[in-house]
Amino acid sequence: MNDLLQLTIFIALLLDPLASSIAARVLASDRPPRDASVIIAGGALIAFAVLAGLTLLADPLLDALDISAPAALLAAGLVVMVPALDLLWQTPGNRVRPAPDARAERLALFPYGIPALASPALAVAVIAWAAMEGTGATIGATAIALTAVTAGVFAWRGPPTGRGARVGGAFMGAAMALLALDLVRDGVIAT
Amino acid sequence: MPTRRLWTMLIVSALVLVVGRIVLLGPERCPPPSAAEARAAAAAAAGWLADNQRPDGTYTYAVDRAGRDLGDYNIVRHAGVTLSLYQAARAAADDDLLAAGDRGLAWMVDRLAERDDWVALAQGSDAPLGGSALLLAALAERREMTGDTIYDDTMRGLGRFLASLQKENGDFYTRTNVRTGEPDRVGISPYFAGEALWAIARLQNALPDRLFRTTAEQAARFISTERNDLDFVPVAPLNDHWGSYGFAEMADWPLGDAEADYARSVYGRFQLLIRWEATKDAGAPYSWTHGPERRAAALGTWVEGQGALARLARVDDRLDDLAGLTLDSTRCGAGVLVERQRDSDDVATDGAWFTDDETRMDDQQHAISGLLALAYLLEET
Repeated sequence: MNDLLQLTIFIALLLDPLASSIAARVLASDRPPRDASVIIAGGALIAFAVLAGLTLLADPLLDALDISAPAALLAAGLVVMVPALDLLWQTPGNRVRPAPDARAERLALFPYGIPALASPALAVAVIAWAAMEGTGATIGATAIALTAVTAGVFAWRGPPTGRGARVGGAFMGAAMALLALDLVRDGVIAT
Repeated sequence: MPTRRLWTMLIVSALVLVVGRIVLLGPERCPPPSAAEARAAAAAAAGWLADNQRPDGTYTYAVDRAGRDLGDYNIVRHAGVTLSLYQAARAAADDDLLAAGDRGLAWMVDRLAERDDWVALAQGSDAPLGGSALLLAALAERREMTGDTIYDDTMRGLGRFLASLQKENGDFYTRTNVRTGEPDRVGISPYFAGEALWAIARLQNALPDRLFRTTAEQAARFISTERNDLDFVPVAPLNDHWGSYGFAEMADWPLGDAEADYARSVYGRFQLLIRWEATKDAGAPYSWTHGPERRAAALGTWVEGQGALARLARVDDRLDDLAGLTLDSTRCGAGVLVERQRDSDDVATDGAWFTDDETRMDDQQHAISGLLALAYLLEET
């Protein structure tokens, strides 16, 4: 598979379209449509800024920490395992709750942009991928993945709840667990 | 607003990173040496070997930190040390080191046994494959350095000895009895196949012969496709620097796809070993969680192997994505070696690497080869 496409799919997976859609709908509930747009689009822009910034800082950051790129992949694998296990254990809902008094811009920043989209797992992963695959490829893949996921969140007005969300989340968790294992493996064998 | 569950995920992620940092991902302390620094460290180590050589051509095998001779000897390591002295002599164009290597060579020439059409380095009736392989590699190094062809027949005889010990699957019997000509059909060695591969590949490049080429190709195929399945490889791939040397030597034969794939996997093994070792120098708590320091004879082989793979990656398109990664890893390991080298006024200890209060001659051998590999890589960049 083309490297950029594969990277885009991995980043999209860590953006977790299902949990992100549910979070966006919860945060935008009982608000005017404009607020929903601000939360979803603003959150995506903020997440992109954070992830692109981390990508650009990857090399000096790893230098400062004195760790090599393969070691960063290993770290990413360990952290990705956290949301993977969470999704295997429980539903992707219940991560955020409505905040009717908060401004939409504030919700776009926190908790939607950070940490729902730009999660710790994705942040560490893009640092590792930037070091291994290159800054340009990682920023490009992040932009494509965020655009696609955001379009999906806009379009998916009624993400599943209850059992549907639980089953969908389990699939996402399983996929993330596989990605985590792949990252650990790549970190160990340094490729 | 975030729920308690989201906060828990964030806290757990942070804890994973902190614990991972301490246990698995400590700082890799390997200040990258320049080519000149790597050469200087190699020269100091070669000085230890030469300064502590005995008049009969043998080397001081092991000393403690006080410089006390701990005795013991090993003929295979003697051959390896002589090889590294030739490498150091060539790198520095140093006649004194060449002379020291020649004294070590003369000791081995006195122990050559001839039988049928082959020549082997023997101790009594026992001729281990590794000793002859490293003697052959040392002679190839000497030939490249001096242009002297006086040992060409000996090299061919050693090559035929190695070929005579090759099994049908490309592996090798580990030793033979030179009186009976009967190989040991029971003994095994994880590294002898790689040693034989490298030596005979060098021989083929110096003095081409169909037998040598076929032997090397079969050995390379065995190493890349079968050896990992053997009992003495608990975690594949075996971190065999000799095999890496061999693959690099065969780069333009050209190397088969299986060998190229195997070289890629071995790079990963060396990378992990080197970065783990580099973490031990980062101080507490990393030094507690990463185990005791490995001796230079181990770290040096990883640097050697990674250096050989870096050389291979520069000329093999299938591995060109590893060119930078292998160089970085080689440099990291060499940096650890430079940092750990003993600097002393005592010739019995100066330029050596001590682990657990002891240095052994192959600590210097492998460190020299690894450091010089890095110097060449940096100078050719």
